Amino acid sequence: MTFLTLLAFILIVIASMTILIFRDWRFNAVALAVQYLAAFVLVTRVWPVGMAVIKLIVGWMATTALALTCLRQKRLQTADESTASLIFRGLTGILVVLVIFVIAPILHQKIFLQLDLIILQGGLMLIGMGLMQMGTSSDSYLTIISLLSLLSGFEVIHAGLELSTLLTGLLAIVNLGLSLIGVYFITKTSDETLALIKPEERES
Amino acid sequence: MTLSTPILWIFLPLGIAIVVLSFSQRRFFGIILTSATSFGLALLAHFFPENMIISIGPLNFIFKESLAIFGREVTVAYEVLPFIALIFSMTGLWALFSDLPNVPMTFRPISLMITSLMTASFGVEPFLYAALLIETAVLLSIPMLSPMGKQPHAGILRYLTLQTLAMPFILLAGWLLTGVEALPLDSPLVLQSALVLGLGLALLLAVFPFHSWVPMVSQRSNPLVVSFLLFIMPTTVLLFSLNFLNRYPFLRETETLFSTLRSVGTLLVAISGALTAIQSNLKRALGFGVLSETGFSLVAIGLAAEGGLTWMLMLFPVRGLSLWLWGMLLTRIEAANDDLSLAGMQGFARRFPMVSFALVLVQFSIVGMPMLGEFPVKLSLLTSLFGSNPILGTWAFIGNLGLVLFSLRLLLSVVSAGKSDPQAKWVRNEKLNEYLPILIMALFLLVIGIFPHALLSNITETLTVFGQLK
Amino acid sequence: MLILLPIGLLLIAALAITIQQRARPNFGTSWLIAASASIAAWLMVLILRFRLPTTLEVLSWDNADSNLLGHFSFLLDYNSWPYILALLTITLAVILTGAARTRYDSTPQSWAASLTITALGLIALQSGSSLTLMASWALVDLVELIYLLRLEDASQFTFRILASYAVRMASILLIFIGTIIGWQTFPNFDITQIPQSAAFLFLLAAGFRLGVFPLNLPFLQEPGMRRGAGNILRLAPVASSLVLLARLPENIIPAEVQGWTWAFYALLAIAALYAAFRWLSAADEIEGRPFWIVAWASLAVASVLNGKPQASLAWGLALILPGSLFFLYFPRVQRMNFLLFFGLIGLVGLPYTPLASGWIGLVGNGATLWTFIFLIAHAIMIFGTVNRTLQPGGEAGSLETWARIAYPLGFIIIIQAMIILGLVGWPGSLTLGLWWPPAVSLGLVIGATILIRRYGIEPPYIQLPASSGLAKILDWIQPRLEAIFRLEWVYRVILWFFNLFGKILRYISIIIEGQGGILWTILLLVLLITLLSTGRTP
Repeated sequence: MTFLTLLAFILIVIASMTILIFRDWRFNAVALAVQYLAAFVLVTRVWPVGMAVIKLIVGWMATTALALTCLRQKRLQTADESTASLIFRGLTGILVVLVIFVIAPILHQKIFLQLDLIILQGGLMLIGMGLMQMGTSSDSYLTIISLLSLLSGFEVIHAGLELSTLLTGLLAIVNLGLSLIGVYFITKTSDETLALIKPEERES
Repeated sequence: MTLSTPILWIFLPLGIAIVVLSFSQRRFFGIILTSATSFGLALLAHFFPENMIISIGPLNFIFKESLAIFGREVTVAYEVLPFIALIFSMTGLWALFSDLPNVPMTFRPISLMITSLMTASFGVEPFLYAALLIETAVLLSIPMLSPMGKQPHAGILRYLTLQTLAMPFILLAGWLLTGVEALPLDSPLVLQSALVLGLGLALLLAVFPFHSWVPMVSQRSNPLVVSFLLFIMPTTVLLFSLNFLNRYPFLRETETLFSTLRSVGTLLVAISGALTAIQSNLKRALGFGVLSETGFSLVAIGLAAEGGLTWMLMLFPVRGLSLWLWGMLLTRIEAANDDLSLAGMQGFARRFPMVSFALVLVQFSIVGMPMLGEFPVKLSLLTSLFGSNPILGTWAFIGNLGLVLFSLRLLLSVVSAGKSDPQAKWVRNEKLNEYLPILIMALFLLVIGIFPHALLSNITETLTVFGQLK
Repeated sequence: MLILLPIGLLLIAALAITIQQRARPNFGTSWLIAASASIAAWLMVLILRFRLPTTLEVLSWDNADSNLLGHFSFLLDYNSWPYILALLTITLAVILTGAARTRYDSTPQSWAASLTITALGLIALQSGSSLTLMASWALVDLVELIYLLRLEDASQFTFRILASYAVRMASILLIFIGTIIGWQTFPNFDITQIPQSAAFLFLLAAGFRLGVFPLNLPFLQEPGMRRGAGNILRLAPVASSLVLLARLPENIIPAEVQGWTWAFYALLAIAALYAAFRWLSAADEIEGRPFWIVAWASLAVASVLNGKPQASLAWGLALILPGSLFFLYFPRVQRMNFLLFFGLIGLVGLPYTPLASGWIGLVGNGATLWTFIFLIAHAIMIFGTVNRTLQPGGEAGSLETWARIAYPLGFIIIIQAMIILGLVGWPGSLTLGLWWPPAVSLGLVIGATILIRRYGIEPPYIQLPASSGLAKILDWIQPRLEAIFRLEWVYRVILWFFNLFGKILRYISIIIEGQGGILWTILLLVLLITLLSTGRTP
């Protein structure tokens, strides 16, 4: 179990770094799915599998909705980015990782004593990376993914504090709602929809 | 027959909203159904009997205050019905006059859904789950702020991000607060939990520096939609925040909390006032004006010991009416004049005098200029604030003047004849059906400003829900 | 309720004239309605002199549920009754003298406007609380704004109209903050009980509206509003500010700014002297009207600063009544010129004349340098008034038959009101007063007359020869002084600071709302979270 937890944590780091660095929706979708899987593994440490799997299913549903919409829209020929920007984002990701490693034990000691350190670290990693993803992109699709990452991180931490069916259900609604919003945004920015919008109403 | 009040005021309007959404292309149908439902529920809330029994002929409907869902409860208590009546009547007002250019079709059903969810958020037990219901309302609001056919803008994303960020903070605060109840007041965890809660509420209420989405959204989205959102969300969140004061004595008994609220509120008033004064876009001024109002509400909570909660509640109805009028006027102006900058509005009053002067009047009403809607409450609020801290009182007064300054600049712009026609005569292009509601509302604001004690006292009964608060 | 009757009567009459003009226009009927209503209101107010003081509580917000403070009331007392009578007198005079100006600005619409403005002015004059005062001022200002904007030639004056409105609004806001401060000491005080802590703000508010303190003259060139309704529009708001002066407490300068008293006097003295000089040099009474108002108002404010607010009554009434004699006197009729001398007598301030009780306001507890400066300003005002009085007029034959009765009657009414107020206006109105200030002032006037005669200049043609050096100097200075006192340079400076401030704020907004804005927000969040985790208090 400990090895599995550690593996889950490592996967979280890799997946979130992938989302942070790369802008291609295919990479992001796969990374997001892996992220949810890893989060599920962490949650199983404190919740029954039956409850924890809800988070996995909801997460994968959200990821699938986004990915399928992107696929359908044949979307998002991402602009060529310079290596410098990739490296920059990578460095910011490493910064986040380091910060998490520093603050997690302090928070664990002062506030979240009943939580496993690895769960706390995993959750914080998702939150931190999600925040950094939000800060480095203004694209609607990426913003939704960052929000999903952030929420999944929070859910991992909260799972260790409280078990509530209603709360789980409501969080599931929120996650699916976010993914629907993401679908909505992607559809609005597709070529077909853009063709219907007057030029003066488009943002540059 | 036994029913429950949550079914009436949460699930029924949700169901009707779904019906309206299904027929969203039928504009007239949507307006009638949404406004009739909203006003009907508002009237029902206003006249609901205290014994919770309604008799219609041989039928007796007994209403329970709570409904159990998945082991938790949603309650719509009798004491909160004045507030419910307010938000539903406001929703009805917005829906009734939503047949304006550029107002999305989805506005009517979504506004009703949001009102239902906010009602639920107020009554859910444990009340921390309200954060999730509020988040759901935020998600629902996206299509009406950024309808199909218009590109999503950065403001929408910022709004979504910041409002979503609030949710984890509130949920975490709930957990922390439960743990610190038994701790002494000087324990650092008490401060930390209060700070986490404060951050969550600050994000929801768009307190500086989390305010950036407000002007961005108000600039790009339809003004009527924005004004509705900027009324319903902060109003319900402010009332929701009182739950924390009611539930946790250590929060209630800390003078530091109240002085912090006064300071934060004053800061918000001052900053948003300054930002309003320098604006050159009418829609952005709406956003900053609302932020200033939120600041005043926080100040009112900070003055709870002097009766500030009463003032906060009394501000809600008049603020709702003012924001409705403001949003409607801006929507009409936008339809008549593409450019909503001050320069672009030059000479507008010479063609549309009623709309122009009503806009200035409603802005003055929001500020609290004498004899207009918010004047009586703002006068008492500022007097009390000045008494508790003259520096804060002075800054709040100065901040409040920001919108006055903007209004004067607007007035100068709209009455000045344009360069293309310096001798432009005054004509009235508004039709009767356009300016009559404006005139009636403007007069009503004046009446409220003169008779506040008669018209605004009813809402204060909502405070009885919070047994521990005055 | 009696004190509301004149207001109701005037408003009903204005409405009747408006309806009548739309339905069946008739000049004579409209004039009769206006005249009858004015006479009736005037008589009512005269009778009310025997019921002073009278208070009418209209509305109170005091309520256990609402936790609101504030009340509305009307008050007719020895401070407001003189101004009310004066305002009604000039309204009646406007209607009566309007008979002679039917070719100019005297129309049923202008009479209806006059009656309405007077009614609103009466509300303001009878304000019994600061809330009533704010409400009435707001209403008066709004009516004035709409009236001015709708004038034919208003387009070129838009900025000044709005600048004037902004100054008026600032005065209301000063009362607002004054009320807030005053309520700390004395919650819900009446207008007769203005606390010390708030009094200076109330004085500033009155000073703003009078254009005196600080000096602001947005309307040095006015849109076309000559006599008649224009006179009422100018004087009604002035009257409501003057009555406030009379209600202020005696020690008005706050202790914190006692050391700066000289600065207040200096500002007033500059205002008085400049305005007096401009009255003297104005081409006609209407051009000089703004300066007339500022000059006399300065003396009224000086009385308040000297701790004699009651004395401001005399100066305020001198502003309104004798002033209206000159402002309404058009066309000039040679045979009626003698009536103006009565106005002059009312301005000199000799013992037992209406202005006699005002001198104590300027002298205060002892004559100072400022007293003499104000005396000089008074002397210049008298000199200018003498100049106007001596100007020749035309023939009475230019007037219609009925106007030959109504026209002089209008002026007689004003003179009558001056006498009534001088005799029984308020306790102490009929007084010996101080003999030496008017003597000094008259002496200065006589001395000046003798001096200018040596240069071949005589009233009523006080004008320097174009070739004289002094005239050239004055021609150079005057426009520059006017530019200074019109305060447009102040507006430009304010605008410059405002734009600078706006640029900084906009720059910050761009950063926060820009692409990197969320990072700034996140940064702040992270800082706070860091503080949380270390358990330190911010």
